[in-house]
Amino acid sequence: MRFASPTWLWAARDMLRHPSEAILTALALISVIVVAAVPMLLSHGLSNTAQRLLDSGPSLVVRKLAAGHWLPMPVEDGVKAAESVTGVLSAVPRIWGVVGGPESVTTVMGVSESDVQTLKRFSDLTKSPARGEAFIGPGVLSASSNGDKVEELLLLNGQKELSVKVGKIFSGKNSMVVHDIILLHESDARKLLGLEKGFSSDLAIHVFHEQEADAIIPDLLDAFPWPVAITTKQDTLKIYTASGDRRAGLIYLALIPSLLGLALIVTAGYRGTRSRFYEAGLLKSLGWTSQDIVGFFMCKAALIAFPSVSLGITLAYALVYWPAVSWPAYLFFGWQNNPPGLYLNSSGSFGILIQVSAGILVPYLAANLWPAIKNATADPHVLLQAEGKM
Amino acid sequence: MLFREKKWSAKAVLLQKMQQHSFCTSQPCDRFDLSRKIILSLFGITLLCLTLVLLDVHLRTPGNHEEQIIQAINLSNLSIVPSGRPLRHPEGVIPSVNLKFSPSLGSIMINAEYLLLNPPQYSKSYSIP
Repeated sequence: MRFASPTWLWAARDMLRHPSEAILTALALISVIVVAAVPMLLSHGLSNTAQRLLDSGPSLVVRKLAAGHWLPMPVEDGVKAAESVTGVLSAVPRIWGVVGGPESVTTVMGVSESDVQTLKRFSDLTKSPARGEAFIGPGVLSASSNGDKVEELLLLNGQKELSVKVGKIFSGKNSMVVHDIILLHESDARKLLGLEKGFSSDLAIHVFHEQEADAIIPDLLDAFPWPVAITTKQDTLKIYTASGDRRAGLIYLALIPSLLGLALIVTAGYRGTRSRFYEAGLLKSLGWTSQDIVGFFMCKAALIAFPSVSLGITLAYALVYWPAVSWPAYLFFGWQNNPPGLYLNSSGSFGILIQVSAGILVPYLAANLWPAIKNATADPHVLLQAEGKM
Repeated sequence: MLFREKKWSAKAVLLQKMQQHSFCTSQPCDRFDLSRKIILSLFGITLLCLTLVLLDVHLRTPGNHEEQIIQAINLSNLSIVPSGRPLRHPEGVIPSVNLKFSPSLGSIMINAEYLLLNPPQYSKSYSIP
Protein backbone atom coordinates (compact mmCIF):
# COMPACT_ATOMS: atom_id res chain seq x y z
CA MET A 1 0.00 0.00 0.00
CA ARG A 2 1.35 3.36 -0.96
CA PHE A 3 0.95 5.71 1.96
CA ALA A 4 2.95 8.79 1.14
CA SER A 5 3.98 10.54 -2.00
CA PRO A 6 7.67 10.52 -2.88
CA THR A 7 7.84 14.25 -2.13
CA TRP A 8 6.95 13.60 1.52
CA LEU A 9 9.51 10.79 1.72
CA TRP A 10 12.16 12.95 0.17
CA ALA A 11 11.30 15.77 2.60
CA ALA A 12 11.47 13.43 5.60
CA ARG A 13 14.80 12.11 4.42
CA ASP A 14 16.04 15.64 3.97
CA MET A 15 14.92 16.41 7.53
CA LEU A 16 17.04 13.49 8.72
CA ARG A 17 20.08 15.08 7.12
CA HIS A 18 19.84 17.92 9.65
CA PRO A 19 18.08 16.38 12.65
CA SER A 20 19.31 18.86 15.23
CA GLU A 21 18.02 21.80 13.16
CA ALA A 22 14.60 20.14 12.83
CA ILE A 23 14.44 19.30 16.54
CA LEU A 24 15.45 22.80 17.61
CA THR A 25 12.88 24.38 15.29
CA ALA A 26 10.21 22.05 16.64
CA LEU A 27 11.13 22.85 20.26
CA ALA A 28 11.07 26.59 19.51
CA LEU A 29 7.64 26.30 17.88
CA ILE A 30 6.31 24.31 20.85
CA SER A 31 7.64 26.90 23.32
CA VAL A 32 6.16 29.82 21.39
CA ILE A 33 2.76 28.12 21.19
CA VAL A 34 2.75 27.29 24.92
CA VAL A 35 3.79 30.80 25.96
CA ALA A 36 1.18 32.39 23.72
CA ALA A 37 -1.68 29.99 24.46
CA VAL A 38 -1.44 29.51 28.23
CA PRO A 39 -2.46 33.06 29.34
CA MET A 40 -5.35 33.10 26.89
CA LEU A 41 -6.58 29.67 27.95
CA LEU A 42 -6.19 30.46 31.64
CA SER A 43 -8.09 33.70 31.38
CA HIS A 44 -10.82 32.10 29.28
CA GLY A 45 -11.14 29.06 31.59
CA LEU A 46 -11.24 31.21 34.68
CA SER A 47 -13.98 33.52 33.43
CA ASN A 48 -15.99 30.56 32.08
CA THR A 49 -15.78 28.65 35.34
CA ALA A 50 -16.48 31.67 37.54
CA GLN A 51 -19.54 32.49 35.46
CA ARG A 52 -20.83 28.93 35.81
CA LEU A 53 -20.21 28.71 39.54
CA LEU A 54 -21.33 32.16 40.60
CA ASP A 55 -24.58 31.76 38.71
CA SER A 56 -25.65 29.53 41.61
CA GLY A 57 -24.86 32.16 44.22
CA PRO A 58 -26.90 35.10 45.45
CA SER A 59 -27.56 37.97 43.07
CA LEU A 60 -26.92 40.73 45.61
CA VAL A 61 -25.16 41.04 48.95
CA VAL A 62 -26.34 43.76 51.34
CA ARG A 63 -24.16 44.91 54.25
CA LYS A 64 -24.97 47.47 56.93
CA LEU A 65 -22.59 50.36 56.81
CA ALA A 66 -21.26 52.91 59.28
CA ALA A 67 -18.68 55.63 58.78
CA GLY A 68 -15.55 53.68 57.88
CA HIS A 69 -16.61 50.28 59.19
CA TRP A 70 -19.24 47.57 58.95
CA LEU A 71 -22.04 46.91 61.36
CA PRO A 72 -23.84 43.64 62.00
CA MET A 73 -27.12 43.39 60.10
CA PRO A 74 -30.25 42.99 62.24
CA VAL A 75 -31.72 39.83 60.74
CA GLU A 76 -35.42 40.33 61.29
CA ASP A 77 -35.57 43.95 60.15
CA GLY A 78 -33.13 43.35 57.32
CA VAL A 79 -35.01 40.39 55.87
CA LYS A 80 -38.30 42.24 56.21
CA ALA A 81 -36.91 45.29 54.44
CA ALA A 82 -35.34 43.26 51.65
CA GLU A 83 -38.40 41.11 51.04
CA SER A 84 -40.61 44.18 50.84
CA VAL A 85 -38.95 45.05 47.52
CA THR A 86 -40.68 43.74 44.42
CA GLY A 87 -38.50 41.24 42.58
CA VAL A 88 -36.70 39.87 45.64
CA LEU A 89 -37.28 36.15 46.00
CA SER A 90 -35.52 35.59 49.30
CA ALA A 91 -33.09 37.26 51.68
CA VAL A 92 -30.84 34.88 53.59
CA PRO A 93 -28.75 36.10 56.54
CA ARG A 94 -25.13 34.98 56.31
CA ILE A 95 -22.73 34.60 59.19
CA TRP A 96 -19.20 34.80 57.97
CA GLY A 97 -15.93 36.55 58.56
CA VAL A 98 -12.20 36.37 58.12
CA VAL A 99 -10.23 34.95 61.05
CA GLY A 100 -6.74 33.77 61.78
CA GLY A 101 -6.50 30.05 61.06
CA PRO A 102 -3.92 27.48 62.05
CA GLU A 103 -1.62 28.36 59.15
CA SER A 104 -3.02 31.44 57.48
CA VAL A 105 -6.07 33.67 57.28
CA THR A 106 -9.23 31.69 56.61
CA THR A 107 -12.88 32.42 55.93
CA VAL A 108 -15.28 31.14 58.54
CA MET A 109 -18.93 30.53 57.80
CA GLY A 110 -21.62 29.61 60.25
CA VAL A 111 -24.07 27.07 58.87
CA SER A 112 -27.51 26.31 60.13
CA GLU A 113 -29.30 22.96 60.02
CA SER A 114 -31.26 24.08 56.94
CA ASP A 115 -28.05 24.75 54.99
CA VAL A 116 -26.86 21.25 55.80
CA GLN A 117 -30.13 19.75 54.60
CA THR A 118 -29.26 21.19 51.18
CA LEU A 119 -25.67 19.99 51.43
CA LYS A 120 -26.78 16.46 52.33
CA ARG A 121 -28.48 16.06 48.99
CA PHE A 122 -25.24 15.83 47.08
CA SER A 123 -22.43 15.15 49.50
CA ASP A 124 -21.62 12.65 52.15
CA LEU A 125 -22.50 15.12 54.88
CA THR A 126 -24.87 13.42 57.25
CA LYS A 127 -25.05 16.11 59.88
CA SER A 128 -24.30 19.76 60.38
CA PRO A 129 -21.14 20.70 62.27
CA ALA A 130 -21.82 20.18 65.93
CA ARG A 131 -20.73 22.69 68.55
CA GLY A 132 -16.95 22.60 68.76
CA GLU A 133 -16.69 20.88 65.38
CA ALA A 134 -15.47 22.25 62.06
CA PHE A 135 -15.87 21.10 58.47
CA ILE A 136 -12.86 22.44 56.65
CA GLY A 137 -11.74 22.94 53.10
CA PRO A 138 -8.74 21.01 51.81
CA GLY A 139 -6.46 24.03 52.06
CA VAL A 140 -6.99 24.94 55.70
CA LEU A 141 -4.40 22.48 56.90
CA SER A 142 -1.35 22.04 54.72
CA ALA A 143 -0.08 18.69 53.58
CA SER A 144 2.75 19.02 56.06
CA SER A 145 0.39 18.51 58.99
CA ASN A 146 1.24 15.44 60.94
CA GLY A 147 -1.01 12.45 61.17
CA ASP A 148 -4.62 12.18 60.26
CA LYS A 149 -6.15 15.61 59.87
CA VAL A 150 -9.59 14.53 61.04
CA GLU A 151 -9.92 14.78 64.80
CA GLU A 152 -7.18 17.40 64.74
CA LEU A 153 -7.79 20.54 66.83
CA LEU A 154 -7.88 23.92 65.13
CA LEU A 155 -7.23 27.14 67.01
CA LEU A 156 -9.05 30.06 65.38
CA ASN A 157 -8.45 33.72 66.23
CA GLY A 158 -11.36 36.06 65.63
CA GLN A 159 -12.98 38.45 68.08
CA LYS A 160 -12.32 35.62 70.52
CA GLU A 161 -10.16 32.53 70.39
CA LEU A 162 -11.92 29.30 69.61
CA SER A 163 -10.63 25.76 69.51
CA VAL A 164 -12.59 23.36 67.31
CA LYS A 165 -12.17 19.76 66.26
CA VAL A 166 -11.94 18.89 62.56
CA GLY A 167 -15.00 16.79 61.79
CA LYS A 168 -14.70 16.62 58.01
CA ILE A 169 -12.41 17.74 55.25
CA PHE A 170 -14.06 18.59 51.94
CA SER A 171 -12.82 16.84 48.83
CA GLY A 172 -10.00 18.50 46.92
CA LYS A 173 -12.31 18.47 43.91
CA ASN A 174 -14.23 21.32 45.55
CA SER A 175 -11.13 23.44 46.07
CA MET A 176 -12.31 26.30 43.91
CA VAL A 177 -15.23 26.84 46.26
CA VAL A 178 -14.23 25.78 49.77
CA HIS A 179 -10.44 25.60 49.68
CA ASP A 180 -9.76 27.77 52.72
CA ILE A 181 -13.25 27.89 54.18
CA ILE A 182 -14.19 26.60 57.61
CA LEU A 183 -17.83 25.71 58.27
CA LEU A 184 -18.76 26.00 61.92
CA HIS A 185 -21.88 25.55 63.97
CA GLU A 186 -23.84 28.80 63.88
CA SER A 187 -23.31 29.52 67.58
CA ASP A 188 -19.54 28.85 67.32
CA ALA A 189 -19.31 31.19 64.36
CA ARG A 190 -21.22 33.90 66.22
CA LYS A 191 -18.92 33.51 69.21
CA LEU A 192 -15.77 33.61 67.08
CA LEU A 193 -16.89 36.61 65.02
CA GLY A 194 -18.50 38.50 67.90
CA LEU A 195 -21.99 38.46 66.40
CA GLU A 196 -24.92 38.64 68.79
CA LYS A 197 -27.97 36.47 68.26
CA GLY A 198 -30.42 38.17 65.91
CA PHE A 199 -27.62 39.72 63.86
CA SER A 200 -25.81 38.50 60.77
CA SER A 201 -22.78 39.60 58.78
CA ASP A 202 -24.85 40.45 55.72
CA LEU A 203 -27.83 39.41 53.67
CA ALA A 204 -27.62 37.29 50.53
CA ILE A 205 -30.45 38.26 48.22
CA HIS A 206 -31.86 36.16 45.39
CA VAL A 207 -33.93 37.94 42.79
CA PHE A 208 -36.60 36.65 40.46
CA HIS A 209 -34.93 37.87 37.28
CA GLU A 210 -31.16 37.97 37.29
CA GLN A 211 -31.22 40.78 34.74
CA GLU A 212 -33.23 43.03 37.03
CA ALA A 213 -30.77 42.80 39.95
CA ASP A 214 -29.22 46.14 39.03
CA ALA A 215 -32.61 47.75 38.53
CA ILE A 216 -33.90 46.99 42.03
CA ILE A 217 -30.84 48.40 43.81
CA PRO A 218 -32.36 51.90 44.28
CA ASP A 219 -35.52 50.28 45.73
CA LEU A 220 -33.40 48.19 48.09
CA LEU A 221 -31.42 51.22 49.23
CA ASP A 222 -34.71 52.97 50.01
CA ALA A 223 -36.14 49.93 51.77
CA PHE A 224 -33.44 49.66 54.41
CA PRO A 225 -33.70 52.09 57.31
CA TRP A 226 -29.90 52.29 57.65
CA PRO A 227 -27.06 53.00 55.27
CA VAL A 228 -26.16 49.84 53.36
CA ALA A 229 -23.67 48.84 50.71
CA ILE A 230 -24.89 46.53 47.98
CA THR A 231 -22.58 44.39 45.91
CA THR A 232 -23.96 42.69 42.82
CA LYS A 233 -22.99 39.33 41.39
CA GLN A 234 -21.81 41.16 38.31
CA ASP A 235 -19.31 43.10 40.45
CA THR A 236 -17.85 39.83 41.69
CA LEU A 237 -17.90 38.31 38.24
CA LYS A 238 -15.98 41.27 36.90
CA ILE A 239 -13.09 40.20 39.09
CA TYR A 240 -12.88 36.88 37.31
CA THR A 241 -14.21 37.63 33.88
CA ALA A 242 -11.65 38.90 31.52
CA SER A 243 -12.83 41.95 29.75
CA GLY A 244 -10.49 44.69 30.72
CA ASP A 245 -7.11 46.03 29.91
CA ARG A 246 -5.44 44.16 32.74
CA ARG A 247 -6.04 40.75 31.21
CA ALA A 248 -4.90 42.07 27.87
CA GLY A 249 -1.81 43.36 29.66
CA LEU A 250 -0.96 39.89 30.94
CA ILE A 251 -1.49 38.39 27.51
CA TYR A 252 0.71 41.02 25.89
CA LEU A 253 3.37 40.36 28.53
CA ALA A 254 3.47 36.78 27.36
CA LEU A 255 3.11 37.64 23.70
CA ILE A 256 6.11 39.97 23.52
CA PRO A 257 8.73 37.24 24.09
CA SER A 258 6.75 34.77 22.03
CA LEU A 259 6.51 37.19 19.13
CA LEU A 260 10.26 37.72 19.30
CA GLY A 261 10.71 33.96 19.29
CA LEU A 262 8.34 33.64 16.36
CA ALA A 263 10.28 36.33 14.47
CA LEU A 264 13.50 34.37 15.00
CA ILE A 265 11.89 31.13 13.86
CA VAL A 266 10.44 32.79 10.77
CA THR A 267 13.80 34.35 9.90
CA ALA A 268 15.58 31.04 10.39
CA GLY A 269 12.96 29.28 8.26
CA TYR A 270 13.32 31.84 5.51
CA ARG A 271 17.09 31.74 5.49
CA GLY A 272 17.16 27.96 5.77
CA THR A 273 14.98 27.48 2.71
CA ARG A 274 16.59 30.29 0.74
CA SER A 275 20.05 28.89 1.34
CA ARG A 276 19.09 25.69 -0.49
CA PHE A 277 19.24 27.37 -3.90
CA TYR A 278 22.13 25.22 -5.14
CA GLU A 279 20.24 22.04 -4.30
CA ALA A 280 17.08 23.43 -5.89
CA GLY A 281 19.05 24.20 -9.05
CA LEU A 282 20.48 20.70 -9.04
CA LEU A 283 17.09 19.06 -8.59
CA LYS A 284 15.59 21.25 -11.28
CA SER A 285 18.29 20.34 -13.75
CA LEU A 286 17.66 16.68 -12.92
CA GLY A 287 14.06 17.05 -14.03
CA TRP A 288 12.10 18.24 -11.00
CA THR A 289 9.39 20.73 -11.80
CA SER A 290 8.89 23.99 -9.94
CA GLN A 291 5.85 22.41 -8.29
CA ASP A 292 7.97 19.47 -7.07
CA ILE A 293 10.52 21.82 -5.55
CA VAL A 294 7.94 24.01 -3.81
CA GLY A 295 6.16 20.86 -2.61
CA PHE A 296 9.41 19.42 -1.28
CA PHE A 297 10.23 22.50 0.83
CA MET A 298 6.65 22.86 2.05
CA CYS A 299 6.42 19.17 2.96
CA LYS A 300 9.55 19.56 5.02
CA ALA A 301 8.16 22.65 6.76
CA ALA A 302 4.85 20.89 7.39
CA LEU A 303 6.58 17.81 8.82
CA ILE A 304 8.16 20.05 11.44
CA ALA A 305 5.35 22.54 12.00
CA PHE A 306 2.18 20.45 12.29
CA PRO A 307 3.40 17.95 14.92
CA SER A 308 5.04 20.81 16.86
CA VAL A 309 1.87 22.87 16.86
CA SER A 310 -0.20 19.85 17.91
CA LEU A 311 2.21 19.06 20.73
CA GLY A 312 2.32 22.73 21.76
CA ILE A 313 -1.44 23.16 21.98
CA THR A 314 -1.80 19.85 23.84
CA LEU A 315 0.84 20.90 26.33
CA ALA A 316 -0.76 24.35 26.83
CA TYR A 317 -4.18 22.76 27.19
CA ALA A 318 -2.90 20.26 29.76
CA LEU A 319 -1.08 22.99 31.70
CA VAL A 320 -4.31 24.93 32.16
CA TYR A 321 -7.10 22.36 32.15
CA TRP A 322 -5.45 19.40 33.83
CA PRO A 323 -7.66 18.57 36.84
CA ALA A 324 -6.49 20.20 40.07
CA VAL A 325 -3.82 22.27 38.34
CA SER A 326 -2.31 24.50 40.99
CA TRP A 327 0.52 26.48 39.40
CA PRO A 328 -1.72 29.47 38.40
CA ALA A 329 -2.62 29.97 42.06
CA TYR A 330 1.10 30.10 42.95
CA LEU A 331 2.03 32.41 40.11
CA PHE A 332 -0.97 34.68 39.78
CA PHE A 333 -3.29 34.58 42.75
CA GLY A 334 -0.94 35.16 45.65
CA TRP A 335 -0.97 31.76 47.33
CA GLN A 336 2.23 31.15 49.23
CA ASN A 337 1.68 27.50 50.05
CA ASN A 338 -0.99 24.85 49.60
CA PRO A 339 -2.75 26.56 46.68
CA PRO A 340 -6.17 25.42 45.47
CA GLY A 341 -6.39 22.97 42.59
CA LEU A 342 -8.34 24.53 39.76
CA TYR A 343 -10.95 22.59 37.81
CA LEU A 344 -11.54 24.92 34.91
CA ASN A 345 -14.28 24.71 32.35
CA SER A 346 -12.68 24.16 28.94
CA SER A 347 -15.65 24.75 26.67
CA GLY A 348 -14.83 27.15 23.91
CA SER A 349 -11.09 26.76 24.34
CA PHE A 350 -10.61 24.93 21.04
CA GLY A 351 -11.30 28.18 19.19
CA ILE A 352 -8.49 29.88 21.11
CA LEU A 353 -6.15 27.00 20.28
CA ILE A 354 -7.03 27.28 16.60
CA GLN A 355 -6.35 31.04 16.67
CA VAL A 356 -2.97 30.60 18.36
CA SER A 357 -2.01 27.74 16.02
CA ALA A 358 -2.95 29.78 12.97
CA GLY A 359 -0.99 32.75 14.32
CA ILE A 360 2.14 30.62 14.54
CA LEU A 361 1.66 28.33 11.53
CA VAL A 362 0.84 30.95 8.93
CA PRO A 363 4.02 33.06 9.37
CA TYR A 364 6.19 29.95 9.61
CA LEU A 365 4.76 28.33 6.48
CA ALA A 366 4.82 31.67 4.64
CA ALA A 367 8.46 32.13 5.58
CA ASN A 368 9.20 28.78 3.95
CA LEU A 369 6.90 29.21 0.97
CA TRP A 370 8.32 32.49 -0.29
CA PRO A 371 11.98 31.37 -0.64
CA ALA A 372 10.78 28.01 -1.97
CA ILE A 373 8.90 29.80 -4.77
CA LYS A 374 11.93 31.99 -5.45
CA ASN A 375 14.16 28.93 -5.67
CA ALA A 376 11.68 27.04 -7.80
CA THR A 377 11.07 29.80 -10.32
CA ALA A 378 14.69 30.76 -10.84
CA ASP A 379 16.73 29.45 -13.74
CA PRO A 380 18.62 26.31 -12.66
CA HIS A 381 21.75 27.61 -14.37
CA VAL A 382 21.62 30.79 -12.29
CA LEU A 383 21.02 28.79 -9.11
CA LEU A 384 23.97 26.48 -9.81
CA GLN A 385 26.27 29.34 -10.72
CA ALA A 386 25.25 31.42 -7.71
CA GLU A 387 26.85 29.26 -5.05
CA GLY A 388 28.62 31.56 -2.66
CA LYS A 389 27.01 34.65 -4.13
CA MET A 390 23.44 34.48 -2.77
CA MET B 1 12.80 20.28 -26.64
CA LEU B 2 15.08 17.31 -26.36
CA PHE B 3 16.50 18.67 -23.12
CA ARG B 4 12.98 19.09 -21.68
CA GLU B 5 12.05 15.49 -22.60
CA LYS B 6 15.25 14.26 -21.02
CA LYS B 7 14.39 16.16 -17.83
CA TRP B 8 10.95 14.62 -17.68
CA SER B 9 12.25 11.10 -18.21
CA ALA B 10 14.92 11.64 -15.54
CA LYS B 11 12.28 12.82 -13.11
CA ALA B 12 10.07 9.83 -13.86
CA VAL B 13 12.95 7.46 -13.23
CA LEU B 14 13.81 9.23 -9.98
CA LEU B 15 10.23 9.18 -8.70
CA GLN B 16 9.86 5.55 -9.75
CA LYS B 17 12.98 4.65 -7.80
CA MET B 18 11.73 6.58 -4.78
CA GLN B 19 8.36 4.87 -4.92
CA GLN B 20 10.01 1.49 -5.13
CA HIS B 21 12.16 2.33 -2.17
CA SER B 22 9.23 3.69 -0.20
CA PHE B 23 7.30 0.49 0.15
CA CYS B 24 9.31 -2.36 -1.35
CA THR B 25 12.98 -2.91 -0.97
CA SER B 26 14.95 0.02 0.26
CA GLN B 27 18.65 0.02 0.51
CA PRO B 28 19.95 0.55 4.05
CA CYS B 29 21.83 3.67 2.98
CA ASP B 30 18.95 5.64 1.44
CA ARG B 31 16.96 5.85 4.71
CA PHE B 32 13.56 5.74 2.98
CA ASP B 33 12.35 3.14 5.45
CA LEU B 34 13.30 5.37 8.33
CA SER B 35 11.72 8.36 6.57
CA ARG B 36 8.49 6.45 6.14
CA LYS B 37 8.48 5.55 9.83
CA ILE B 38 9.14 9.17 10.78
CA ILE B 39 6.27 10.42 8.62
CA LEU B 40 3.98 7.83 10.21
CA SER B 41 5.09 8.77 13.73
CA LEU B 42 4.68 12.50 13.12
CA PHE B 43 1.28 11.96 11.58
CA GLY B 44 0.32 9.77 14.53
CA ILE B 45 1.50 12.33 17.08
CA THR B 46 -0.42 15.12 15.35
CA LEU B 47 -3.60 13.06 15.14
CA LEU B 48 -3.32 11.80 18.72
CA CYS B 49 -2.77 15.27 20.19
CA LEU B 50 -5.62 16.86 18.29
CA THR B 51 -7.95 13.97 19.14
CA LEU B 52 -7.10 14.14 22.83
CA VAL B 53 -7.72 17.89 23.04
CA LEU B 54 -10.94 17.71 20.99
CA LEU B 55 -12.29 14.81 23.02
CA ASP B 56 -11.49 16.52 26.31
CA VAL B 57 -13.07 19.79 25.24
CA HIS B 58 -16.28 18.06 24.17
CA LEU B 59 -16.56 15.29 26.73
CA ARG B 60 -15.46 17.09 29.89
CA THR B 61 -18.41 17.60 32.15
CA PRO B 62 -18.48 20.08 34.99
CA GLY B 63 -19.08 18.21 38.18
CA ASN B 64 -17.84 18.08 41.73
CA HIS B 65 -21.10 19.56 43.09
CA GLU B 66 -19.50 22.98 43.38
CA GLU B 67 -22.65 24.78 42.32
CA GLN B 68 -24.68 23.00 44.98
CA ILE B 69 -22.20 23.94 47.70
CA ILE B 70 -22.39 27.58 46.59
CA GLN B 71 -26.17 27.38 46.59
CA ALA B 72 -26.33 25.71 50.00
CA ILE B 73 -24.14 28.14 51.89
CA ASN B 74 -24.91 31.20 49.76
CA LEU B 75 -21.32 31.84 48.74
CA SER B 76 -20.80 34.93 46.66
CA ASN B 77 -17.16 34.38 45.72
CA LEU B 78 -14.65 31.65 44.90
CA SER B 79 -11.59 30.41 46.78
CA ILE B 80 -9.24 31.32 43.96
CA VAL B 81 -7.70 34.25 45.83
CA PRO B 82 -6.59 33.73 49.47
CA SER B 83 -8.93 34.82 52.26
CA GLY B 84 -8.59 38.35 53.57
CA ARG B 85 -7.79 40.08 50.30
CA PRO B 86 -10.10 42.66 48.70
CA LEU B 87 -10.26 40.54 45.55
CA ARG B 88 -11.57 37.62 47.59
CA HIS B 89 -14.22 39.61 49.47
CA PRO B 90 -15.29 42.50 47.27
CA GLU B 91 -18.49 42.78 49.32
CA GLY B 92 -16.31 43.45 52.36
CA VAL B 93 -14.59 46.46 50.87
CA ILE B 94 -15.89 49.66 52.43
CA PRO B 95 -16.70 52.13 49.67
CA SER B 96 -15.60 55.16 51.66
CA VAL B 97 -12.21 53.69 52.59
CA ASN B 98 -9.58 54.11 49.91
CA LEU B 99 -7.39 51.04 49.67
CA LYS B 100 -4.51 53.07 48.29
CA PHE B 101 -1.52 52.08 50.42
CA SER B 102 0.50 55.13 49.51
CA PRO B 103 -0.74 58.55 48.37
CA SER B 104 1.82 58.57 45.59
CA LEU B 105 0.88 55.14 44.22
CA GLY B 106 -2.21 53.75 42.59
CA SER B 107 -4.74 51.69 44.45
CA ILE B 108 -3.64 48.52 42.69
CA MET B 109 -1.23 46.43 44.69
CA ILE B 110 1.78 45.23 42.73
CA ASN B 111 0.77 41.64 42.47
CA ALA B 112 0.36 39.25 39.55
CA GLU B 113 -3.24 38.49 40.45
CA TYR B 114 -4.19 42.04 39.52
CA LEU B 115 -2.85 41.45 36.06
CA LEU B 116 -5.05 38.43 35.53
CA LEU B 117 -8.09 39.39 37.55
CA ASN B 118 -9.71 42.74 37.19
CA PRO B 119 -9.75 44.58 40.51
CA PRO B 120 -13.21 45.22 41.87
CA GLN B 121 -14.82 48.48 40.93
CA TYR B 122 -15.09 49.86 44.45
CA SER B 123 -16.81 52.99 43.29
CA LYS B 124 -19.62 50.91 41.82
CA SER B 125 -20.68 49.54 45.18
CA TYR B 126 -24.05 51.10 45.87
CA SER B 127 -24.44 52.73 49.22
CA ILE B 128 -26.01 55.54 51.13
CA PRO B 129 -23.20 57.70 52.54
